[in-house]
Amino acid sequence: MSKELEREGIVVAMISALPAIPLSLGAHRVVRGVRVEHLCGDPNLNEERDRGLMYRIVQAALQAIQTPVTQPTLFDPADVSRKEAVHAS
Amino acid sequence: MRLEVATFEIKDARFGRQTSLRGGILELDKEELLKPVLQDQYVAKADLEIARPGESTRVVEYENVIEPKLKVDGGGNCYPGVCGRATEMVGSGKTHRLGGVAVVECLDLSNIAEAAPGESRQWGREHEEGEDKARRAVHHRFFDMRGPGAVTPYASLINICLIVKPVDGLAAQDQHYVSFSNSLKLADRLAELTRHLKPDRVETYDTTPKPGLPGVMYIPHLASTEPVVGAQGTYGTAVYGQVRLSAAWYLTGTEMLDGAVCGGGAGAVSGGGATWRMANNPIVESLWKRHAREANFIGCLIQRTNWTNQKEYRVAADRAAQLCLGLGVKGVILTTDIRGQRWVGTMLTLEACERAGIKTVLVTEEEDNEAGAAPPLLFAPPEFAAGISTGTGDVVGFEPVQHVIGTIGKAPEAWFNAIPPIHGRYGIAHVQDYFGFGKQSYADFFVPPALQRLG
Repeated sequence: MSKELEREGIVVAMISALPAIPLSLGAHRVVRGVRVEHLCGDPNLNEERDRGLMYRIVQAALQAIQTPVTQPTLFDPADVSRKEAVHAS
Repeated sequence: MRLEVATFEIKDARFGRQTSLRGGILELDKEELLKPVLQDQYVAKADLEIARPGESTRVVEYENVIEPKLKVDGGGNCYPGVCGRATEMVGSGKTHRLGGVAVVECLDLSNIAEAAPGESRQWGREHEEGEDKARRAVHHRFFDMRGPGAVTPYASLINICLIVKPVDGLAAQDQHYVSFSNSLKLADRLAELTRHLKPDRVETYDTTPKPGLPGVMYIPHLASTEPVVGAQGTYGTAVYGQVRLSAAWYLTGTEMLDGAVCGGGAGAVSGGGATWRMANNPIVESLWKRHAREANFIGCLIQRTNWTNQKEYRVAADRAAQLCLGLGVKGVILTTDIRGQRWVGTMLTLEACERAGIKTVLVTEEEDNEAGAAPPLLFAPPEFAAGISTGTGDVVGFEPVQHVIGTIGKAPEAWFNAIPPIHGRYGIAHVQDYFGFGKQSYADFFVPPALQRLG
């Protein structure tokens, strides 16, 4: 799906709990998700923290879309949020 | 550890007046054998049928296949831990086994009311009933006893099929418990016949290594059903009854022969049942043949999968590799289970072993290559150096059959029909060959139309 969309000129960031698979199949931008069962959130967190996690993952995906890449690249929401923290201070 | 395995070859099984074993002929008193099953308060109906190799028979809706085994010396019981059985360690002393015969656990769930179906979600269990279900037969569990579709190792066994229809209102795991526990009791009853008989042959398995030879470990990756059904001990592949998503557990090659890894249901070795296939695993068998001659068979590391997250797979992989290093292992053989995320776990173990300086060989089926558009393996790290293909899971097709076993009363008509060929393995769990049983290889059984045209 990701490759077909890119063939049509639409840039794709793919969120995956197992990034090894899309990376090895040649997806350009892969974002690390939480788990197979809950990719963009975590039911163990309270509502506020769950929302924050979801926000960070989607933000990482948006950042991935805007980042030029030359090969399959993994974007980790943890790294993105750390950078965010630096900007904030 | 030292284990003697005495084999009693079964030439035929037939119904008769008295349950007995004489001259390799297993006689079964149907009424007597069904009596304890029907006394189980959770069993609504039960039946017993026999499927022999070469017969025009299809066994459907099976959950598990069990080789009858009896522990006569050394403590514990075979298939420990499942269905409330003792968890005492097995793998030493003496075990009797019935060769060439199996008890097949068939679970008839047609028109049955299941308790809280949403809460007992299971893989591989569809919602169709009757004819609809049979029409989509290729996606359900069945095996043929003859013809080009007789590709599973079960086709070469005399199968004593215990068909159980549970009472209404049970949750899915409990339905499975009913058929599994009764099938184990039947297998125990048949194995008990050998207690005072003279076996056809006795093999001795001694884990003592020979100094100077390299150590080899077998790491089967076996999906855990815990993320789906919870920590139940009866549904899915169990190690001493435990189906939990745990770190790798080390078992000796003799424990494997006593059925320490067993289980049935849709979650067990892709729904084809773990019990017979793990107790008769061709990789374990060939490692035993070479033990203390070409290499030392150190044992098996049962690596569970279904972590659902790559970081946890990485931790599990690193732990397995470190355990192998600590045990002085020089070479590892790996197999996978189901594929998808389980495949990533398998490949990460391989990668971790290679990075730790341990040589690896992966035994696996290939992906359907989608006419050359897809890679043969879902994901392969650069460390992947040696693999053995067991085919692509293609099957040329399934002939119509005269008999269908697995339901109480006559099976839906569609089960008797021909079933179309399987191209590639995706979703067709019940014919998958993870361990190299050798009957499903691409070259042996199926030439794709494109190659046929090329002559």
